[in-house]
Amino acid sequence: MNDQELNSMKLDVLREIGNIGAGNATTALSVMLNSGLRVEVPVVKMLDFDEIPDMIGGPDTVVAAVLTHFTGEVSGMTLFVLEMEEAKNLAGTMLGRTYDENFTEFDYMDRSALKEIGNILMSSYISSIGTLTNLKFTIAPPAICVDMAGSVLSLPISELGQVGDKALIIDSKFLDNERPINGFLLFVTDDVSYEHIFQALGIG
Amino acid sequence: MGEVIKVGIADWKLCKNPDTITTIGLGSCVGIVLYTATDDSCGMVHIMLPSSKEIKNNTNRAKFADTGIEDLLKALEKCGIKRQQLVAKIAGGAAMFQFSGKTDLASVGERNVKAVKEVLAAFKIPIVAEDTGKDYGRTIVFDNVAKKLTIRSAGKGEKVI
Repeated sequence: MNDQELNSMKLDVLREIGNIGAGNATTALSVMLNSGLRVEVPVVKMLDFDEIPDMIGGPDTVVAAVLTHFTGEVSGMTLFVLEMEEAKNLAGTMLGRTYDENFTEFDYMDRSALKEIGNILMSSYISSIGTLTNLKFTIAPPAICVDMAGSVLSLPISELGQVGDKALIIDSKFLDNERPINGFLLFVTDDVSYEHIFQALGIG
Repeated sequence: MGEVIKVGIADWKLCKNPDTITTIGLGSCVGIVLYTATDDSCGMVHIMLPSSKEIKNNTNRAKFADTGIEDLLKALEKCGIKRQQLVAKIAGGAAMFQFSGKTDLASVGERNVKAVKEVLAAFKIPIVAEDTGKDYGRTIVFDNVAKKLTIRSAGKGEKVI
């Protein structure tokens, strides 16, 4: 898909899908963490591959990312990417832990907590797209990675690279009690899946 | 000290001493440096997929192991470098996410490394050093004066090959 093929109506639909998905996801997470989490209206954008790691401080910024992929009438993956301080905040909130300044690496429990947070966020995100479109797909268990943003994002980027040279991204940002969280939820899928989504919503 | 030349994702560049050449955050992608023992120029390519032949949309040749290495090689030859003298150092091809169950996603890195080795073998370019696989990202910097490739990983320090 290229910029020309994306008319404003389709962009609106994608934005709305992201909105509903992230809205549900936020509600699920707020309940779990008992916090005032909110989501901003998502931004739909077409990016060059090199620009994707810049969304979170550049390719050498260390991030924690949870990835879930799904297959079926819609295939693709979602990634929940957090800058390290935010990941510590979230894992700490969930586990009732604090991390001292000598902190270097997440242990098994931290990783497991972050994976679960990502899982809840992304499952509710993807499920709401399923409900909206009535399309069928299965969601695989999530996986986590803590490393440089460039390296972490190389997997979704190479998936996208199989079909084009740009990425159509639905980027949702979250607010924790009005403070913006330095992270995002990324939804990436292929052209065929987008066509299925548009057709299901009657704008094919 | 010269400048640091940055190679992006699915990109290749040439570098002339005393400049150094780098690519940041290799995950499943592979970075390949081609150089000779004597020449002032070298080159680096950052590939993300094994083969241009399996993909319909293959206009960006630097994206693939086969066409990316071929184009870099041709560019080096245009600078007067002899193919027979070229050697390679490679890094990357990690499996960043550990998935439960077997999936194609987990093996992109491994397939990239395999393809790079096949392509280099076909061009008869020997690999003199490599740091590939495993489960972490790598930033690489090549110094063509010292002929050393420095690999930086988050939380793992530096390694020189």
